[in-house]
Amino acid sequence: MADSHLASADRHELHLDALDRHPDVADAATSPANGNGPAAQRQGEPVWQVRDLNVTYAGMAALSGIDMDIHDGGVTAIIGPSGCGKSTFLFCLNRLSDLIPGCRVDGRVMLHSHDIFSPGTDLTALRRHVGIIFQKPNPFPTTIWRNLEMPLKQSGIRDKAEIAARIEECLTAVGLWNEVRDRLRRPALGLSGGQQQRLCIARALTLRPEALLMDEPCSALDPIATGVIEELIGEFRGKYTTVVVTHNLGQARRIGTDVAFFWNEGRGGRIIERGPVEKVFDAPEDDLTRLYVEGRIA
Amino acid sequence: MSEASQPLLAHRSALRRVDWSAPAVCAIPVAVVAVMAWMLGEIAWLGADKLSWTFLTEAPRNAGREGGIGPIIASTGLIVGICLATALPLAVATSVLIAEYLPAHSRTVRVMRTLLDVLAAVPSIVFGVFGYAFFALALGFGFSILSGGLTLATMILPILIGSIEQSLRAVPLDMRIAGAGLGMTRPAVIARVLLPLASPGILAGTLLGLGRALAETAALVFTSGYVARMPESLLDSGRTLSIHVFDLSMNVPGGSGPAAGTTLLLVLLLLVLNGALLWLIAIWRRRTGMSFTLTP
Ligand SMILES: Nc1ncnc2c1ncn2[C@@H]1O[C@H](COP(=O)(O)OP(=O)(O)OP(=O)(O)O)[C@@H](O)[C@H]1O
Ligand SMILES: [Mg+2]
Repeated sequence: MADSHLASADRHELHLDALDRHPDVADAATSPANGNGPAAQRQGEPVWQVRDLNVTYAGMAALSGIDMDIHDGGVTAIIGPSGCGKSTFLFCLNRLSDLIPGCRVDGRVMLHSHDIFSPGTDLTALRRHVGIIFQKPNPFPTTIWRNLEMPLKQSGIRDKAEIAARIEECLTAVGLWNEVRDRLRRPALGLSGGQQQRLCIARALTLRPEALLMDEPCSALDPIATGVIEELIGEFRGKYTTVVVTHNLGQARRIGTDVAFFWNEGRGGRIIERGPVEKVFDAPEDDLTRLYVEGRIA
Repeated sequence: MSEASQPLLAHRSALRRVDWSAPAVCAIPVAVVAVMAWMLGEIAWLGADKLSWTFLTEAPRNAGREGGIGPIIASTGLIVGICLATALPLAVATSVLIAEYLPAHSRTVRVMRTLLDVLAAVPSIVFGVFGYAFFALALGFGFSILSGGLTLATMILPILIGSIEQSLRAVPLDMRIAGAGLGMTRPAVIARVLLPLASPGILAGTLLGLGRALAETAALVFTSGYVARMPESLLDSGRTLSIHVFDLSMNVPGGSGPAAGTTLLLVLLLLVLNGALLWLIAIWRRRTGMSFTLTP
């Protein structure tokens, strides 16, 4: 199924700089045709096509032979036990893997048919285009305002009114505006963990990305803050292409449109099964998947 | 005597041992503090009546026995200013190179660090001889404030690089990844995120270097010389506070009064600089919401 997309891939030769999404383009994606569940998303061109991805850390295999399509506007949940390469996979989607010492990547990661590991890829544009959120909220230790302003200024936006408008827009989008509007000049580290995580999401949104990568975004948060973030990811459906790593199977089922189950038998993580969330959870093809989603192996 | 009382007795004798050792342990820091207090008290006692507006502004007369230290303060400011203005940018650049660009365990870094360690341990008089040969003679700056400032810069460079590199490395990998994940270029992450986060360490290192520079005599005798006139250009010879104290104490009978006054000024200067450092770090803490301790 996945390979049929490759045939039509060449007409999609895009450069990342040209990918800067306009808000109305993003809005258009919320139209029912795109946002109504996994079946509808199958129709479009995948955002990422990962082919035969192999990753090693100082010679030790962390991922081997990963093939995967990630669909436009969907929420792809990555599940699997600890050490199966979920974070590693996520880091390959925007080449943050470059920053990890000893990490070697083989294979193709096509973002709109552009192989992001090909030489000459504009990493700055790529990472502005694909935001990332981590397990531990990582606001810069400065004011809330400067956290949001910094990526905007770095991306060349100087107009004060525009910066202020985007900051308000993104804080509103993560439901933080009313909570912090009076303390924008206070340290971001003074916020609660859940608020910090939402600030980090807002910070990624300021750049108007097409996609968001989230590595266990709730695992450092209490149940209420987790609920808030899950709701937020639900709202992202159709607006952003989201890839979420999670250990929480209930969460994967609640927020995911697609699921990929990773497993590492010692020779690097592989995908055991992937597909729409209902199929993987309710009618898995593989016995291992069934045992895992039933919580009988960890 | 019942068996139960035995452990109690043992316990008591243990307590008694602690009772004896505690004052002994306390006596050491008390003694150290007392010696320091005595030194500072003596300096304050001898120097206090010397410190006056005329002493701080007038030129020295009669080899420094009379008059003030105005030109000496000016020369000190210029020499230390040149020293910091050259050493700080060089040290920041070198530390960024070592900590952020070169691979952590590369040969280049190992060699550089060894060289820096060696340099940090070199006696200051060696820097004086080097400064004389290089800045004064080879570059033709002669006995001048410029030669002195540059010599001090080479002397404090290893200290600055050491502390700046350490504080850059102490910034968590998180912050680098957060910056890169937002599409910030590496230089932008360094300038906007890492250096601001490392600034308390940079300030502390600068203060340490400044202290060394202010205290220095040996390296300056060969380079900036000890002319006590008001400097008219950076190529004039100039005398720093430390050299003035040294000269008054060693070569000028009857110079101990002005020497104490000058010493008191030096001590006050260092206290003010330390106060400024703590104040800046307090501001930094309030702004960032982070905690920072000088001794990690
Ligand atoms: N920086 C690194 N250096 C060396 N090996 C690494 C590094 N990061 C990860 N690994 C190894 O690669 C494999 C996959 O790691 P990864 O962090 O991607 O797993 P994960 O599925 O995200 O696990 P978790 O659920 O615990 O976060 C593991 O075996 C891990 O030990
Ligand atoms: Mg992980």
